[in-house]
Amino acid sequence: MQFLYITILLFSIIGIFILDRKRKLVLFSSERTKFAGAIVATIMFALLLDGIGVGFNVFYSNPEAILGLYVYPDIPIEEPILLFLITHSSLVTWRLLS
Amino acid sequence: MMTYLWIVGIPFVGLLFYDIFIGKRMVFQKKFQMFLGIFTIAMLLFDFYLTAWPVVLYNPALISGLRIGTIPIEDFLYGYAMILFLFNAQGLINSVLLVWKKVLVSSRPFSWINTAYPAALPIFLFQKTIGIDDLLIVLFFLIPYNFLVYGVNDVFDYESDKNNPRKQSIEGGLLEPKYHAVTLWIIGVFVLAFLPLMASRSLLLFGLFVGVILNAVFYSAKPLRLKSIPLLDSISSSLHFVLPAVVGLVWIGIPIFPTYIILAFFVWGIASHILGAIPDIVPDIRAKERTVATVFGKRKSVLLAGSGYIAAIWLSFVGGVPIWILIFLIPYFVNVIIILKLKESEDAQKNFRFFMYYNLVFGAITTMYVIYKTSFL
Repeated sequence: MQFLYITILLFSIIGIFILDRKRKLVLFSSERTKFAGAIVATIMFALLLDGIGVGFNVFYSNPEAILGLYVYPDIPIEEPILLFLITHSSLVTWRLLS
Repeated sequence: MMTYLWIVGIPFVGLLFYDIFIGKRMVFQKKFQMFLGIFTIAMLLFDFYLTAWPVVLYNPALISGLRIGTIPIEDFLYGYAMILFLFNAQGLINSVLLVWKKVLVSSRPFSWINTAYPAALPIFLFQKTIGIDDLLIVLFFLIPYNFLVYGVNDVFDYESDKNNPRKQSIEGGLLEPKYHAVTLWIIGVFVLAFLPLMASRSLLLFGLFVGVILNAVFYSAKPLRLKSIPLLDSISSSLHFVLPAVVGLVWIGIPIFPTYIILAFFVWGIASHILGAIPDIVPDIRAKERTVATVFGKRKSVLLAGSGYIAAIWLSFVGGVPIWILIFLIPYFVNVIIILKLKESEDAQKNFRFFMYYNLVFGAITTMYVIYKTSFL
């Protein structure tokens, strides 16, 4: 089951990407640099919180549910991908509300 | 104890304040509230999957235990903090750059060490090591404390500093009015964050810490504005550097208080403040600011500072400082004599700069001596 989580993440990201591209909402809009900057900064911020969290042993990931590749000790590669999904889909939702 | 609630709670509250008072006030927008509703539903679904499967596990000792379904409530704070960050990202990035450029310069990075060192030295001397907790105190006196002292000072001094060329140097930059609000906000957040830490140690430490903050604020803030009351200006200024040492001593719960050493430091601080006020005599008189130096005049001020140094040395010898340290104090006295012989008080500027640089040299000598003492004896 190691592949389930990453599969769900990528599947969702692809879906949001298609929507984004079709309606030119976020990363396909004319303001893409501004949005990309906000996404990158937010991912960095959330990774910082994650880093503090794993540093103090507050949370950790189930090795049976992840690929086993890490971006930082105890932060799996899935985490930045999840954070990208959250931030990107949030901005897409926001633009759809407009 | 660093629990999950603290880790996400502090950023969440900070970002909420940022959004309401500095940022885009998103939380008041109907559309944003609607978005948060959708976000919460999406989060419930996705986080349920993460926590029920489970992909992510929590240390039961470090979470509140309150859960919605399988989701710890702290996760929601994490999510909302992230969203607040995302929607204020541009402003936040600009604020960070602004802080970097303005507040940092305003806090005189050159002098940071002068407040951190007095806090760190007693801890190191008496514990022979500096732990993580101790490091927090030292860090407070390294950066936030200087934001406080000099930030408040630059806000309240803006009018009189406008015409002082010295303000463009290592002694800080001029802080334009449009940066005043953000400077004070950053200071407030930093200082408040340290209050619980002090209170958790002892009531005495908490009281002392409040005293430190009040002294720092009212050095330049109205209605007290201690810096324009002759003599009190020197005392308050000296306390800026002495109180960090006292906090360090109380922090480690020192059994025997080194009264003479602290007194020596206090007198030294007064003398140095008088010396530092000399180059400003003319601009201060022009700005109608009263300082020790404007009241006594240049000559008497220099003599006062010189006697202060002698008193400080005598006190430190009584307190147990080795005599040979005198050799390294000679430059201070040569400097005082040179200032005494100067015709114009403004020329003392370069001597005061020498004083600031020599402090680093003398600090390095002290440090080496302390390391030698603590590791070999």
